[in-house]
Amino acid sequence: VARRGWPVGVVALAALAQGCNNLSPEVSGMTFKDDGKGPIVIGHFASMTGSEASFGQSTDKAIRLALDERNARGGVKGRRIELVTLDNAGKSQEAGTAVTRLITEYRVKAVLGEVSSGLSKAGAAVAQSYRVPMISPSSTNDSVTKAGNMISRVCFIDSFQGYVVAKFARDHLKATRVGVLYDQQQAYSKGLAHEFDRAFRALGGTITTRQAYTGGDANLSAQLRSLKDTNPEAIFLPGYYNDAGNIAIQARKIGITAPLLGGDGWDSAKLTEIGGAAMEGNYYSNHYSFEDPRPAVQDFVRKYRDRYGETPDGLGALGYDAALVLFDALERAPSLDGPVLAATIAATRDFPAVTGVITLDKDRNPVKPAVMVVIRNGVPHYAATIAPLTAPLPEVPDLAPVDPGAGTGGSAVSKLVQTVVDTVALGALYALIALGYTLVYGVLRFINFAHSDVFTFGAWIAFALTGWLGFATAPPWFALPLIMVLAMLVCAGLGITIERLAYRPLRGAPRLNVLITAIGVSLLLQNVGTLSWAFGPNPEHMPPLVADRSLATVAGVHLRLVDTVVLGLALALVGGLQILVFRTQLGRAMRAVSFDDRVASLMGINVGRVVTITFAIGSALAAAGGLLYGLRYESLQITAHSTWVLLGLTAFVAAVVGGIGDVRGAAVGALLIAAVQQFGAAYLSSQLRDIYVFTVLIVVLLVKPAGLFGRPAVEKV
Amino acid sequence: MKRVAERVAEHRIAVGPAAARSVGPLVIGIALAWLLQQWIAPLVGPFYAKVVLDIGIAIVAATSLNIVNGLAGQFSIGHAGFMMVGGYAAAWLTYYGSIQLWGSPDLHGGFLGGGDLLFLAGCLLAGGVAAGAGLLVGLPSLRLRGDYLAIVTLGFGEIMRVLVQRSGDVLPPVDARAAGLLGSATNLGGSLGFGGVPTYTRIFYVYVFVAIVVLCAHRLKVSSRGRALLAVRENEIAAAAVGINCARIKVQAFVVSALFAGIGGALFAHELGTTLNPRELGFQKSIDLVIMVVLGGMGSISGVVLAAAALTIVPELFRGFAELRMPIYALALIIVMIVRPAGLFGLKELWDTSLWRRLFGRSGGAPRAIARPPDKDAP
Repeated sequence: VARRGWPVGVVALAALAQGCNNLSPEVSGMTFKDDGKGPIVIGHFASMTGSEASFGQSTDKAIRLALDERNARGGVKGRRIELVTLDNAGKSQEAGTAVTRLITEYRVKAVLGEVSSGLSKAGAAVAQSYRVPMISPSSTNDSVTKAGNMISRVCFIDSFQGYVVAKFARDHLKATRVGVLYDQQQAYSKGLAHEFDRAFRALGGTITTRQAYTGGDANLSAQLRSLKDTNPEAIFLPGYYNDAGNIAIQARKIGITAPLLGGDGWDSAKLTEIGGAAMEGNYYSNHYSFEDPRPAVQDFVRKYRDRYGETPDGLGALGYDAALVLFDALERAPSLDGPVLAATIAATRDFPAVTGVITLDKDRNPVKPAVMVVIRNGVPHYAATIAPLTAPLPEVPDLAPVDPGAGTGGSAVSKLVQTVVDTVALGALYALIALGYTLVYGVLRFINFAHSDVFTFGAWIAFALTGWLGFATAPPWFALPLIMVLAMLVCAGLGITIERLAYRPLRGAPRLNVLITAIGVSLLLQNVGTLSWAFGPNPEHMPPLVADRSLATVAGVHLRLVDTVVLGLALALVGGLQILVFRTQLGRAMRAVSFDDRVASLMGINVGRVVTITFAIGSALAAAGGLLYGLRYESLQITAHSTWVLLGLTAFVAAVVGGIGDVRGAAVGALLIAAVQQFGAAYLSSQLRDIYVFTVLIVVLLVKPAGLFGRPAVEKV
Repeated sequence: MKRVAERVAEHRIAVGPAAARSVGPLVIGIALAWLLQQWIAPLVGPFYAKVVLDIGIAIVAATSLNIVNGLAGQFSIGHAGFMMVGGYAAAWLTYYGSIQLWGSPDLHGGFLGGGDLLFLAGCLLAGGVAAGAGLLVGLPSLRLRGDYLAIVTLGFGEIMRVLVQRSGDVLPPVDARAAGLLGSATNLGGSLGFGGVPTYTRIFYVYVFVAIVVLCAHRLKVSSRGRALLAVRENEIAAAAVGINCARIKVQAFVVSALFAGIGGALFAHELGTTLNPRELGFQKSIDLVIMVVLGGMGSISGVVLAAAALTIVPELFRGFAELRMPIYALALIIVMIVRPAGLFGLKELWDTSLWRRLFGRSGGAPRAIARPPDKDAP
């Protein structure tokens, strides 16, 4: 038998070598000839679901508007146009599949999409290999159209946008010193920061500092203080709107008065809804302003409002323009074969579109002006138009993109005091979450992965209650305690429900199963929370329930009332828990179950009841933590946002470092982890904050596996 | 004397059949991969071919997780981190290697030509580098219990993500030539992702690796080492008591699992229509893999293969219901854990299930010894 195996393999390989060259599309000889009859099908791939769903939906609406108008006027070449939209859920692998499906299954003549540059690049590679033209409405990263001659776009590119903001800052704001704060996780933000940096220095300005954050992170005090210390005349903040609003609030709170500048990622109605008064007087670059008096703009805005009942954002305008440019090319093209059509698109000259007159350059990027808008009374108003560059900017050397927080101006004492204050407030929040992990672990010996989601729900429930009870403006004195008690009750109920339905049936099952169930519960809560009938797919601004007052000033640092309330409540809750566990009958029962549940059960303790109560207490503490988090940082990311997971994880690390199962350990661990984060971000580099935490975890686990306060567990057979 | 020689011959371990048993299926697997690429893929068209390709990559990644999670019972929720390490290592080699060798990162050579060989070398490098990372992550597992280990693997994935995000832009060919292969090792594209990686991943290569990974996992499962893994999974103390070096075998499982995950990452990196970026291979991907393993049955090779295929096809079928996709996944995960704690198939293989037996009469060739999960309450 063995002798037969080898020859088979050799034969197979030989046969393979002969004819295995097909199937990569370049050589598969697959072309899609147009038969000149029937409707012309075009495709759109977009993030219709997932965390960037609003981008895709906005674009798709505008494309459909353009499509219906064109069809009402008789379509193209006397043929109707049909649109197929496929969702890619914000994942590049699915974007590639969606474009493949559009081209090979639906036989589209051209593809429109995407907003995100990463997804556009995934789709562009596919479109290029099948020789089907693709127009990206709003991917601004320079590299997108470099995928090949089939790919073009109708929005300006980041290198131009960076120049626009830099030019505006130099000429209109007369600024010479600007600080930069970018999202290191977003390619868009990082790239735009880089382009601005180069353009601004080429125009004779100075960058005072470059600070980084991770999208969704609400705690930016270290970075903002470093910015403030350098005393910039303006701050460039090239993130997305959901972070920009929150950052603006925090910046104003610590006394930064310089205007904030942003890119087109700020363009959303949510920007001022989240940022509120803190957004006033800030500027951002955009593709168009709906106030622009040009008839093309006003016509589009009116039609869009008539159909959808809302004002189109920049993404909508670009989607509309992409469709117009495509229809124009379809009409002009001598044939609808991919390369011919692509060449026709690339030859677009002086096309009057909503976002300006579009002429595509040799790299198939449009040459057109950009507008700067200013926010007044919560509405973006037209501020200036910046024309395209006529001559290249002088080259400036690249500087290292990292500036640590250390070594900047400001008093060393006040920086130290401030870092300590931040550490204590953050540590108190971590402690409240960590206690929930520790309590459940102490009693049941398993990590309740869903705990961080109960915390998230606590924050969101508090937000919802604040709205329902009408405390959003001018809350009475009892608003905070009332909402806190209600949120704690609701979350205690949630905790008990989770325990009953998901965990109790698994009592006695292997730990792995319980762990996986916990992850399942966590995923369920995260994703149910983002549904439109729950908390919705948009970040929100938490209204202040505590007046924003400064109680005292130490070394130039304000001790804010909010921080004091957060710390006071956290201390009270931790103290209460300590008394509960060590001074009451119930606490004794909990400790007994933790020590040995079988023996405890023999002693007449109702183990099931103790477990239920433990879950209720842990969840209530998490709810309190969520509310206090909302109070301190005033912004709530959507429930499926990774920032919540990271927050829960950090608190869990704190519990493990302190010694899981130990109440004091959780508190000490929380302070330690908060200190590592805050001091690391303030004195080393803000970019490596999460790495510090996990490094501390791994080191502690390797040196003292049971944590600082934990006792080594003896396993019995 | 003759009788002695006969008896020796009788008792000699037959090399032939053993080799056939191990090489035979691989040859069949390669032949099937070739069939899939040559005949099936052109027949179904490029879109379904891409779905088949995605399924293959999902099978490689999920089966690799099945080794450490299903067989050894060590919970890893940072498995996409190994894919990321492997993917970037391979992409670095093919992209910058192509530039050094041929001056441009474009596809080079035909079937098994220079480009393909470089790609296969990249896959091997990916496996090697990821295995090294697996050793690093596996070592703490000597001291850590299941849930702590999960956190360490998660931390590993996060640290990898932050490090890749901080890497420099991808160098264009001219600069890359000047920088040299090693000099460009930190230019991996940062948070925008590694663009311009040549797209060598084809159905044939993917399914050759599928064959290798699935066969290795299966042989591992039915070997004495696999039984040792299962023993560790069921009860570490009891396993140690019967003479199994638990620490050693856990680390081995981690290394093998990471190796295959790295190869999966390399295949992902070179696929047409994906961008290799740190967000894509983050926590969410790790969870997707865990779901595949859990639904398929922890330790069931064929079950996980089926689950990987099903969960790759489902999004294609139900693009319209995508908003409820994740809640439904999560609910399914919880319900499966409660109703069938060992996953849909448990340790069983497809051909051990009663439905299969009813349909096809007799069972396949799986050894009976481990077909049934150990009886928990047996005296």
